Amino acid sequence: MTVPASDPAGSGRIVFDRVAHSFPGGSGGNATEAVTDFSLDVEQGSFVCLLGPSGCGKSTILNLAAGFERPTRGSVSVGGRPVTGPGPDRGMVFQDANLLPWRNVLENITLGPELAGRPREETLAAARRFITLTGLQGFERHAPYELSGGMRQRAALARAWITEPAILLMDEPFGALDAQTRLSMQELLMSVRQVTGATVLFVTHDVDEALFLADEIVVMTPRPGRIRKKIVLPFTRPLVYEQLILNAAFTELKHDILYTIRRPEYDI
Amino acid sequence: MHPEKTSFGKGRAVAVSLAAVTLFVLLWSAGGRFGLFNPLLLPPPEEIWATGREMLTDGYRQLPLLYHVAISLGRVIGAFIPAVLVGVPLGLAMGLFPVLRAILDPFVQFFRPLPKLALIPLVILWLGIGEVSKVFLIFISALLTVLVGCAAAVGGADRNRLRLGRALGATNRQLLRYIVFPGALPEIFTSVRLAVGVGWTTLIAAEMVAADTGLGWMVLNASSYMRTDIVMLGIILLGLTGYMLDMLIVALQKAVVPWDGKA
Repeated sequence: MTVPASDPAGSGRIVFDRVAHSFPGGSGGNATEAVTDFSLDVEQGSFVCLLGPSGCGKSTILNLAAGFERPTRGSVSVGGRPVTGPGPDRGMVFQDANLLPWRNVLENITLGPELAGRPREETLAAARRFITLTGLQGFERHAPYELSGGMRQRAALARAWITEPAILLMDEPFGALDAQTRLSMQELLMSVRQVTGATVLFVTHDVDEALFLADEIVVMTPRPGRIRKKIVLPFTRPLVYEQLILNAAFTELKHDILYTIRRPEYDI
Repeated sequence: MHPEKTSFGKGRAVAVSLAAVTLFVLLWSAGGRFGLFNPLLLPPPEEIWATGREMLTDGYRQLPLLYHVAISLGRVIGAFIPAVLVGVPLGLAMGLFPVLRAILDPFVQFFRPLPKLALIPLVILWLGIGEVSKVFLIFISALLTVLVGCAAAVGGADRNRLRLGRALGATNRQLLRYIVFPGALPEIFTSVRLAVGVGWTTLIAAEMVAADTGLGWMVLNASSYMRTDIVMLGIILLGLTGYMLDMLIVALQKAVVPWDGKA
């Protein structure tokens, strides 16, 4: 990944500046404030996990970065420019793989380049590369409904990676998978990230997942979500999960984070 | 989908259905044989069968039985195809453009529940007593069904799929082509399937318009001569033909949207 010289901030940098976001209330009800006073600088090439209880507005932060929503107050900028809407510079991975059921695996992966009008040969070459990276060889012609949850999410990752976005926005992408599959997907994500080098903003409520994947964990408060704590992780990569969980720092951090999330009154 | 569907195999379901129908016909036949009901009011199946074979050769009112089947089918298909050709694009447009929907919706919602029989006097006055008025009645019924279904189909486009398209840089036109239309296909098919049913139902109303051919007319005509065997033959043929039309649409649906209900 090269950073254009004309872009001093780095195209993969996300800056949230005192962001607040409210959803209009139901019939006659008051607006619900999902996040408030949220400031965060996600550096180019870093992996940041947003961690917090459900309903704390983690996904809202992601949707603001994606451009699906506009902040009620404050600003969100990507690569130094304010976010005005979604764009292919920010790849999105959803909790359910969100594959288009009328397209087979290969056609799902090549959707982005096809929309961008890329030459077919170039697209197929790139698709082959990411199919190999994600271990989907032999499944190119399968329909999404013929795949397991893990395989679907592999295809969703390949689809997001093929356009080589500077930023990947991931909304609990492995939350619906069983524990073993989740772990292998996490390892896949780490290994491919070494190749693509994109900035990752990753939403999860799984503390172990955040500790395994992230460079920095941002713990959020319950609604309206604000930043409770930022933790820069001390681990040196590459990490092996089985060894990480024996690491004293891992155990201590996990303990602290769980207390922060579940028992705010302790305030460690 | 029903959870039992997997444990109760498809082959077994067909076998049980066939057995149920066979048993029903046997009971019906036995009831007639033992004089349980008046054959004038409820003719036994073998009498209907005999009437059918007789009419295959001799016809009904100078016209072969299959001709009546064909002309009824022709009316329904002749109304159904334009209803789909007009209804699908117009319905999709209604779903996409709120203004168009606001303009057309009051008319659609007014006419849709209206019993089409009530329109017969006007249709006869305006379009005469020929084929046009019969086909028109079926067309209107089918069209309204398709319109409502297709408008709902695009209105219900999946939010996450739209977001996916936008995140991949799709233009509005690309969103329609790559996300909205394919996503609406299952519902479009459902509305088309409903429209076939509605069209077939309206056939009877249409063939009350000064007809002298068709299955619906045959049933109505035979009833005035107390020919309950012909009435029941007509009803059975109406039912079977409608059933086959429906199976045809379902087969088409399975071929075009094999992923429906699986994703």
